[in-house]
Amino acid sequence: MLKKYLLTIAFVSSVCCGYAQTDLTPTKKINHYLGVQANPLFRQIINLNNNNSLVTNPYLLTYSLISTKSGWGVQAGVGYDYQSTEDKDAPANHRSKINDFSYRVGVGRKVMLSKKFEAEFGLDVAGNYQNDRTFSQSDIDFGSGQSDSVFTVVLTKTTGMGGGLRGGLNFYLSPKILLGTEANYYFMRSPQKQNVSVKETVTQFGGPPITRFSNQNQSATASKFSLTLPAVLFLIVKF
Amino acid sequence: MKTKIFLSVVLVAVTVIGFYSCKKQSDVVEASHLTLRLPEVPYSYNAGNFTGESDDLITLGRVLFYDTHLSVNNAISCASCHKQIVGFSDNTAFSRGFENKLTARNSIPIQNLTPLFFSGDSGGTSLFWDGRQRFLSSMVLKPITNHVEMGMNDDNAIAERVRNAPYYTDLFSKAFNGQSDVTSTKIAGALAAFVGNIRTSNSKFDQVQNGQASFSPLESEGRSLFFEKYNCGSCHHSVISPDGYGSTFNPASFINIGLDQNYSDRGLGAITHSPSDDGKFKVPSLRNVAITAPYMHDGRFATLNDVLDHYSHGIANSANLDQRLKGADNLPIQMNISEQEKTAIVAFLGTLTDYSMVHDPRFSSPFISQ
Repeated sequence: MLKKYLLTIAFVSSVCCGYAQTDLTPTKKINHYLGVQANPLFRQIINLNNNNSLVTNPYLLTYSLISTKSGWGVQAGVGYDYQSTEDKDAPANHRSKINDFSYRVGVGRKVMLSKKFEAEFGLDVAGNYQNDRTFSQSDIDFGSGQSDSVFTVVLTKTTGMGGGLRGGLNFYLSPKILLGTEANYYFMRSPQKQNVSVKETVTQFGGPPITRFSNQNQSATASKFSLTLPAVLFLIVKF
Repeated sequence: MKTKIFLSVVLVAVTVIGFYSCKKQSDVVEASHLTLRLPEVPYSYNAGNFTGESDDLITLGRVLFYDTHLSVNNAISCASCHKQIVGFSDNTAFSRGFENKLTARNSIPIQNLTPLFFSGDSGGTSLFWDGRQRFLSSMVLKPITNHVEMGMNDDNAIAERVRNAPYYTDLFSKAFNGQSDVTSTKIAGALAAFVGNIRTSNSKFDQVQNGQASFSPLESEGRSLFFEKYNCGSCHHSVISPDGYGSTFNPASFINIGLDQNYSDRGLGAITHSPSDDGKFKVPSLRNVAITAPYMHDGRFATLNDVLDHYSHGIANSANLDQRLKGADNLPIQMNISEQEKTAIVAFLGTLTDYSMVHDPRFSSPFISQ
């Protein structure tokens, strides 16, 4: 967990440092682009209909460092999702804690298509780390003093690595503010480890309770090509 | 200078939020208390008319359908995403699986599955939005082993979990002529028997068909618009038969209705690997449609009016757009349905709701909260 935050801090720090350097440079050699995913914001401002749609781009923040001369540069993106939920309405009460961290780094080039439009393309290495935990507990009475009580803990860790192509299009709202979108086609290989611990206590026909413990480790690896369409808008600051 | 201060504040805020979210929280969850209540004499499902299974087998399927033991963390059952009160669909665009993560598609309503679903060597039909399963007995275990939905490792793990729950010994014995051993095949058979016998045939639409009721003027206008002016029945023909999913597996049952120009979900195309099938999804039954919102494979439309707005002026063009939704110029049609017409069509669709089904105790959870 700490590692993830160190990475986040390092990312933000690099942005700060980069800004300081360009401020002092008399002739601008490098452009910085800092983007933030803005779909929920736009939905708040312009809600044209009630349509639901699932946003599948995990990168909440993007950053590019581009040479003003050649248009080539490096870029990165990070996203983090933390959820802690407890459901007491379900038949079995359960709590889930989700930690999902996604990142990508790569090289790419930006090209001006016209005065207002800028295209970008690049090659990325991408990864994600998921650490999810869920707990549940239920007691089932099935008559004649018989009962079945179950407490379960499931820990799931996924560490995915891969990469692929990325392309995007930016529109200049002003010389420093851009509206952008992007698509990517990544191959990801994601080994997953899961630990399932179950404590089950059964009481039958008034007899003594019998408790059974089970602890299982499972692992699986998923590999897939995925296409992320340009359904997400980024608000980008250029400096 | 100001920018540096701003970025420093952001940095501190991110760090504080990060450490707060890492704070150790208790793993103890308050237990839910449930009682398994089944009638002395099993409910009668009249399965002989449809699938021929015994009431004991269907009762076993009912318990399995509602039992959270079938998920890896003992928290989610089939009924978590297929809720009786909303026509065995889910009242959210994407349901949540055992870790509270979102599923990939909208939960499709369950009702009036045909006997064809049970045939072994021939026939069969298209289950799931993309038709990737043809037989109910193989389909029912898929969500249980899906890594987002119920998360069980494999069919053997499901059988072991059920075997360990003591109340199943008697239920399996009754359902399988005294043989109480638990296998995944038996579990699948019982689940398929229950799901296949969730039937609706008592909506106002059915009552009108049987001469027991009559449509209001608004409903009549809606019916006429639906079947005649806008020819919705050319795709939703099964709405007029008791069988909600009447067609056998047939590519014609899958249609691209112009939801998107570019497909983030290929639908049938991902199964057939044919680009000409991209963006095609199963045409669902419209029975109980008024209570199964949100609509479409991704739950993008919150209301029936939103769906009608799509057909009225929102159809997106693409190579795979169904020909019935194209005009003579090969462009998407604009149905331009008026507000009055929308009201009438929605009123007609409301007559397809079977309120007796959504409250029928034979289909309800046998696990009662104490």
